[in-house]
Amino acid sequence: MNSRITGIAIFTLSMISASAQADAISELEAVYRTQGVSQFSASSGEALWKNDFVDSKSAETRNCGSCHGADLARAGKHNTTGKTIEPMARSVNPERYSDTRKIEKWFLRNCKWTLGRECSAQEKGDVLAYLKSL
Amino acid sequence: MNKSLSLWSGSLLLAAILVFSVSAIARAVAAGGLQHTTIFASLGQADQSVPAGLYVNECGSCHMAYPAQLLAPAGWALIMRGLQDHFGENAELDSASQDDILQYLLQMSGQQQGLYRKLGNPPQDPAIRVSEWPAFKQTHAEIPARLVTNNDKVKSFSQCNACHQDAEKGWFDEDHVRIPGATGWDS
Repeated sequence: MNSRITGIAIFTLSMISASAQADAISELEAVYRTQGVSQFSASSGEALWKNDFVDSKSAETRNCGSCHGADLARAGKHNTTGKTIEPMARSVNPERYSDTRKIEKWFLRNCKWTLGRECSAQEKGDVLAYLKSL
Repeated sequence: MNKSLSLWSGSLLLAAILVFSVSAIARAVAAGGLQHTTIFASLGQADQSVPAGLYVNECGSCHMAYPAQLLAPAGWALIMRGLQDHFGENAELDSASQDDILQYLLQMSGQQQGLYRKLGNPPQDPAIRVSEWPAFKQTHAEIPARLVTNNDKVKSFSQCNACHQDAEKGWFDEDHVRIPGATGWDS
């Protein structure tokens, strides 16, 4: 009896984890909520995405489009290496949003490069809300 | 009744485990996690496949996964300790991955017949930009800028693999060179 309950419990947990894995954005939103964020705004995310920032060291103007391009349904191009960067819009490239670790890694790198600092939980949640709406 | 319920939940559990395993393998393959082993196997380091996979996935997702033999161990150490400003880009990694990759590069670079040994005296110590080495400049001197920096398909001398087809395997001989967009270039 006990082992059957344990079995069912493990199965249920596996299924919960499977659905979370399938949607890394929801998983991250849950994390950001624990960090005090109550609502995610696609329009704030879009504004941040399109905002220009001036790099203190090189004095060059940077924004997310510097590498991701203007049309997020299409591939971008890295502004230094020329490397193709696959589309950001979730509707055309859902694979991008399947791994929370990868998403956080790129937020860390790209927020520091573009904004000169790390993004807050609110900002990351808003940007994800914007990208998943595309 | 109890027994059949138990059997039913057991089968479902088994099915769930199977689905997870298959999807994990599929993800690993899709991420290039298995394919790189052949690249390094050709250099005789098949047993290094796990850290090599991490290296190829993390570093090779932005640029060519430079063969470890291109730099001396001290050069790799300098690069891996400065990922926050990696030639002007932020390429930070979590510290565990960073340590694992550095260990792999140190080990490979120390073991192999390093190409860096053939490149002569580097302009700085430890050297991290192969394209600045005198021997590199000498061997690439005859190639006009229109084929490299002004060539959208190449852009920079640091993109070895744009022209050297087998660069990731550590082969840089002239027979394997094909400059994209260069019509009539006699290499």
